[in-house]
Amino acid sequence: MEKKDGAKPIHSPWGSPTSSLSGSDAADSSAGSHVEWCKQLIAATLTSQISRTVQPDVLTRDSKISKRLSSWKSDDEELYFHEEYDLNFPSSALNRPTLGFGAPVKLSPNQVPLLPGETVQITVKDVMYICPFSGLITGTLTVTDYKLYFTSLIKESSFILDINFGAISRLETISVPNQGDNTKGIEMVCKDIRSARFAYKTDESQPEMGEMLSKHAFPLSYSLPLFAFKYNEQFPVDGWKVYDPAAEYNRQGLPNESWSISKMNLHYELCDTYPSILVLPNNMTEDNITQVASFRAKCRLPVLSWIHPESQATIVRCSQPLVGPLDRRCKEDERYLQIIMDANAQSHKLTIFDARQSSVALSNKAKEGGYESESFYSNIELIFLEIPNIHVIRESLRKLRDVIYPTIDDAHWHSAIDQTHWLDNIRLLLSGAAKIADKLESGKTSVVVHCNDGWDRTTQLTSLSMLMLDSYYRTLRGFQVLLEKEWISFGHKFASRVGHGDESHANSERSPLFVQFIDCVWQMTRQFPAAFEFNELFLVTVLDHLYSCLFGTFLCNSEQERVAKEVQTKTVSLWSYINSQPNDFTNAFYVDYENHVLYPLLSSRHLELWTSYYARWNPCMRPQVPVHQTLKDLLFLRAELQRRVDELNTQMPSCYPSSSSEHPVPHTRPTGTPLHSAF
Amino acid sequence: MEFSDHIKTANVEDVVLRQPLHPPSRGTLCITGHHLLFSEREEGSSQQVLLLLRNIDAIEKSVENLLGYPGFLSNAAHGDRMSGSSGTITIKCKDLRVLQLDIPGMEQCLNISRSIETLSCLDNVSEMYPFFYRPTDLSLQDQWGLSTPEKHYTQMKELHERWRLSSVNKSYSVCPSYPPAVIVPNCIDDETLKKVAKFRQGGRFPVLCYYHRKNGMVIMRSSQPLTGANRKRCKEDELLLQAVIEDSEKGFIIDTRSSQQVQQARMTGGGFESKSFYNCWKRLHRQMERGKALQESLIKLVEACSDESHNVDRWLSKLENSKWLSHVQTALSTAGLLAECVERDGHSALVHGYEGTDCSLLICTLAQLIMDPFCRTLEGFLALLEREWVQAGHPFQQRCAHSAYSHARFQQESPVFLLLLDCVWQLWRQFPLALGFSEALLLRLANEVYASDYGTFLCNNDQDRCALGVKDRTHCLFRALLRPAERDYYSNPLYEPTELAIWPSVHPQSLQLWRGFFLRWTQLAHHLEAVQEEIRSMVIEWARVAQR
Repeated sequence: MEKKDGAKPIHSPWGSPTSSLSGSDAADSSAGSHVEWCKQLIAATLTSQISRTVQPDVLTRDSKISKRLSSWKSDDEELYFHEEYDLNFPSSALNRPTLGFGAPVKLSPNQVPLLPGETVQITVKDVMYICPFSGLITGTLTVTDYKLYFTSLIKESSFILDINFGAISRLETISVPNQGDNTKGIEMVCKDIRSARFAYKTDESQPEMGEMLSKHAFPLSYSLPLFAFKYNEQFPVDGWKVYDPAAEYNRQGLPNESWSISKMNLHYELCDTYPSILVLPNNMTEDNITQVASFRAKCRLPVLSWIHPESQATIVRCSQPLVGPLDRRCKEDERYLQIIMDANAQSHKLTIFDARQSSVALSNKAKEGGYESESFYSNIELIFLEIPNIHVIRESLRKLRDVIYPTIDDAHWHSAIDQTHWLDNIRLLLSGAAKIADKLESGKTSVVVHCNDGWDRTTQLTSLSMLMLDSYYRTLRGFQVLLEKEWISFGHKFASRVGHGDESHANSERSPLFVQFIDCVWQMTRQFPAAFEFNELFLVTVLDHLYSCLFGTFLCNSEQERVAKEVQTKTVSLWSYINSQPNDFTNAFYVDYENHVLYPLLSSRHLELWTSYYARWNPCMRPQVPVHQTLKDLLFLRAELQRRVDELNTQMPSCYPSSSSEHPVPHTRPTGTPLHSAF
Repeated sequence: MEFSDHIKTANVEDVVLRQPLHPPSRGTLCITGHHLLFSEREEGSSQQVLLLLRNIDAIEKSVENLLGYPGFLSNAAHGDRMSGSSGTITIKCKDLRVLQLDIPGMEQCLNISRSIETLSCLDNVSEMYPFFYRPTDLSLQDQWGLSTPEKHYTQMKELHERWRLSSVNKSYSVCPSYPPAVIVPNCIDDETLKKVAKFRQGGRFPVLCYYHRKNGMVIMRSSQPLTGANRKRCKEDELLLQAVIEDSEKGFIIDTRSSQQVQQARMTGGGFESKSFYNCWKRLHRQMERGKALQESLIKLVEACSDESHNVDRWLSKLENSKWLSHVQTALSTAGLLAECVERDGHSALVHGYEGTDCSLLICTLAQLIMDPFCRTLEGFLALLEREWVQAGHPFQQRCAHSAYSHARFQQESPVFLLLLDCVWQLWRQFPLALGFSEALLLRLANEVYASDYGTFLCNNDQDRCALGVKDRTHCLFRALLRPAERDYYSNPLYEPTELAIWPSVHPQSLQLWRGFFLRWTQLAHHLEAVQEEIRSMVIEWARVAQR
């Protein structure tokens, strides 16, 4: 009946006219019954698949690009082009590039694509996937050591559900009514908002499914290795080479007369959660520095993160001082901050941004922590940013999940989002970072940023303000450096916060701080659509692999731990994958706003919920047109033009002034800077 | 009465203008019959702000003198003689901009505000600015409008077999709000039409508004039938609708009211097509808000948008409470339903509500955008607006007399056209490549419909326009928008025509606030415009190079 209409007929939210009764308002004013809706949904998505095959240009364009991407070595190209469509989990919605990269993807006997190093553990037939959108779907479930792969045929069209074990937060047995006594049910609640339920028949001859899933989802709890240590894909680019601390500090103009690159922490003896290479002030002896470290929580002493190329104002990060209820002082710490202030000739002040709520900082004083007293530290200004702690953020995302998955209450969508306070927390974080950036840029004043331990809120704030201040971090490569530096090397406890391979999902250490940070970055990319070299797919991919345990990038809690576990030699870096196909992750409209500081607008009117990430599992969120494809083509075109301009330049160097080599297009740059005024 | 009678003070020096996105500036303020002109008087700059008085929705004044006494209006005559008195006028525009003028001298301030108050809402259409606007590059001899019903019919060759152009309304006697020529089934003669017109509110008998080339199905629109409490019937009306579906077995009537509302409408003489008399037609009810409810929704939304406090202020809840986005949702989903009837189910449809001049036009327009690739081009879209809104008799003069800020008591105001533009924007956002025009066009139209140099949106219908000579004495906006420079600016550089229907997603998470319009006077919108400009120049440059 609906064979070849519709660019992308999603489904029929307005209710099919044939199914509603005339005159009966109640029946046809809503979208109809849920079951009816689901049926329509399946019909519509199947139609869309059919209509895809009748659009020859779309297909050829897809394969054209894929061929370009896989042109390194592909003995058996056909294997790349397995058309998959999954109704429930549209990872293909963002035209995700295939992971199977250098070597062709291997297919196991029952057509499960396998990554290098991945092995099938068990295949179970007649498993029922309890889809929240379309009811029961019966199919085959394959369990590998990396993922669950469920396939089913609905009306001759394949349905695929692919969940990697890393994404699973907890496994629960559920009851499955009306399916017989020997049917068991299991629910997988995932870290990335979705959850999946399966029902299966128990069979004496087969190993217990629940236990096997648990073993693969939580290998660390069973003393087994994470999949990242088995994955052995060969990429043409080595992502572990992306971040070289010395090179990054050199780029910032360090060392200089006030700051030096120190190896005091080479073997993590000064601070075991800091990187081995630190930038410290010149005028302090090693003894003094050790004393400062002992005055700071977890020995996380103040070190330089970023220096302003012109004013020499710096962003310094640390943990809270151990002041305690007795108002302990540390002369070396006071002198240390004085030296940091003096290193910047432009200002005679130093601003300390304490990320915490002032009441929390005060209560920490009772527990040996505290904050810098303005009476002991001269010329400092202490500002509390009033940002809530990791537990509040965790709760906020949990509430958001309840609003979004699996179904959305259309009538109260906005107020429900409001009640999660997720966007309020985003705003607090962005506004804190903007205050820091403004202090450096307009106030030319150095800043010290800390919270409790200086690995959560501090990391969020320093990295966001650096993103606002330094256009290098807004490039594809520079952003990777920013993550490697501020987050990974400075000991954001990824393992504890994400809980890689750990079954204790209720652990109070868990918190989605990195997700919150990436959300802030996304908000900025929305407000400055041309200022970032990377695109939305990049951000989503980073978040997916935060959980996947496929790459070693986000494993462990500290650099020391990573070295001990030989992560760099035994696992692949996420950046190897990203940088092997940069075109997929590049923003077609990127313009390098060099030396421009970006101040995002902070009114809640200008922040929006990142539905294309959080609500992406909802079938109605599929993009309507392949814009992504067009943008990619534009990128290709741009590179082509650049090449032609370069050619012309070499042919007639005398006629063309060299200025044209930088951009192929004479931009009519807006006369003012593309900046928002501060606040 | 001459304009000058309303202007006691035409010029004031040393006025400070505060407007969004700009630092305050000092200069001369000048009031003319139709404009407020501010010229900056600072060295090195010659910035001017020219504002149509018609654009002003509300004006608030506060006067005070520097001696510290609050100036009450009753004291004004007394106070103005004191040196150092001054006043502030806050001007709230229909394009949602808010300007503030600090004017020295209490009397001058009061004079200026009185002039603005009077001149910004003149009732007499022929005194409005379009009758005085004479740009050098347009001539009054040019054709007014993009097309006429006659031309439209002539071009639609496919129609001729079953449909004819009737001039039964050539003197506007059958239906005052219809154009002189309309398209009706071949087999229905003018006498029948006259009888049908008596059976439909305001004489708006069912006429063809869209012919779907792919399957020959049509969309008709009309006003409600006047069945009344006694379930009156009209054979001719039944005959006409039967002629529409001819031999295909059924058609759909999309009524933009709930089934409860239509029952109530019978009590006041209106009604609906009952199943027993129109047995091939199936009614579908979709309640769409209009009139006052829509106007109040806009007011709430604009209030929420302009409340720029930075603290935790439940912005999203306010947005939800305004219900604007749910009106957008209803409009898009009803249009989707209509398009589904025609395109997917392959049946003809009739659309009406009460008068058939608001929501009916809204969803017919949107359905055509969804289905018809030609309507998605720049010319096609403007032609669609001309056909479905200007010629079809949307009462622009009544609906757009005031916008969200006005303190005046509302009568017929309702932002239906703005709602249309918002819905089109949602389509544009969901299908960034499928529409041939840009967001800038929608913004421009949103301005023009409330205050314009052109005559296009004047009056309530074709009859009024003819009576006042609008087509001879004003210029046409749509033609002006198709001049080469404008055409460039208003077209979408990323446009890729597609023959397929574009089905919008209508879930709340897929719909967004039209920030470009509702938050346009904040920095962000400003910045995004710059980026869009950049994208445009990139793409145009690419196209140019590619041609070489």
